[in-house]
Amino acid sequence: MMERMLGVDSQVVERLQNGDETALRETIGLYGGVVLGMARRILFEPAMAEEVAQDTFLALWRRPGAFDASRGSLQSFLLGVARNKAIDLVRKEEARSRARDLLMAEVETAHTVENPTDRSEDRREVRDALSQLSEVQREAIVLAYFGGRTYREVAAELNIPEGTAKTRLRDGLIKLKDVLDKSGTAEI
Amino acid sequence: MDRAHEEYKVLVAAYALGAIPPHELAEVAHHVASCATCVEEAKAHSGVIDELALTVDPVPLPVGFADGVLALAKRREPSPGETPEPAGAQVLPFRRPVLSGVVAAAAAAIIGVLGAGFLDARSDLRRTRQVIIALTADHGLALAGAGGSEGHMVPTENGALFAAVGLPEPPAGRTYQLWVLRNDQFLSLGTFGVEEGEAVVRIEDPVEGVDGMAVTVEPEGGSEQPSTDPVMRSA
Repeated sequence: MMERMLGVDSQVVERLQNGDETALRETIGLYGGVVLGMARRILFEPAMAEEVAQDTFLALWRRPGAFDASRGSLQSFLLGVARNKAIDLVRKEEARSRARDLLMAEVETAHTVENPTDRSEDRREVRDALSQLSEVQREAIVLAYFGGRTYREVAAELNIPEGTAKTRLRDGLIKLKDVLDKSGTAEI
Repeated sequence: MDRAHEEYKVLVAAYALGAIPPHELAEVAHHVASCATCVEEAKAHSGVIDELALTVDPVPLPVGFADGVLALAKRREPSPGETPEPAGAQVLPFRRPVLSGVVAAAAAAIIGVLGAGFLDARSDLRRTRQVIIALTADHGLALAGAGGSEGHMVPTENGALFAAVGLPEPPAGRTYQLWVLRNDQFLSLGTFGVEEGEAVVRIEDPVEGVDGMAVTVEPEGGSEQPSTDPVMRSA
């Protein structure tokens, strides 16, 4: 399944390199929802999230060669680009990040959306794995990953020593890997 | 500031998450890249971090979203008048020989960063570029261009690394091409694109003893010799 997806990704990118607008429409149709979802997860203003999603696909259109199928899926690539763009806006203070309680609530709320490209089963497994972390570990990881906070900002926001913030991030990731390894979730 | 290994080790997770403050990034990256234990830990973290993206729920796209992206893609493409016309092969006026010897510390750190497989994880590509730009700044052969763009080429054991910032997207159908001048001959080091104004190019050929370096805008696929004025060059 995964190999087939990577093959499809490569074909789409080849068409994008040839300036095929239909390929861009198809890519947006396949991954637009999750890309916008990533931007919405990070940014407070929906309009800015939409701009980030647009910019993500524009970046792919302009430089399809930046995607390398041997390193992962197109979905993973696009989500990474969207996350970077959204966090950049937050860090440059051009956009507001979502508040901690919103970030936590969204990570913990499971939704099931039927879409063959969504890998919703994997999403459920990762969510389940996250739920097995201690609350303080999960909070630190969510603030850093979806909130764009540095470890110093995590410490300040949670009112904990910086050393504690570093430890929570580390212990949380180690436990998450352990849980995911046991559940057998495939790499993206 | 130079922390002990244990202090760096507990920062590796934050590093893999992109949660190191910008002013600490180069220092932490330098340690991680040069420490086998930290590299292994960062690799493990990076695989997990990629999985976190899967927790995102798809959001219905607004009506007309794809049309909007395509309209922007077309609108931002330069008109034919904006495309630089080939100016024919020319000799770039480099004034003095530059670059001798290997900038050992920077080169070692860069080799470590590139060699660390964890940095190949998708979410780390941009950070890798930024770390390399930070590590190459103020080292090696410096290039400057219009609009404050600048670049540095730092020799490594097996070639060199070129990092640039402040470069605009090349016009449609054009690409940037990197050149070295050696014995009055221009040699192409390859073409490259930019992402958000930044570029990192790994050069596999030895670059010792070059007399200068330049970046030009060339037709897609590159040229045999520079065909336009350089947009960036060494002094």
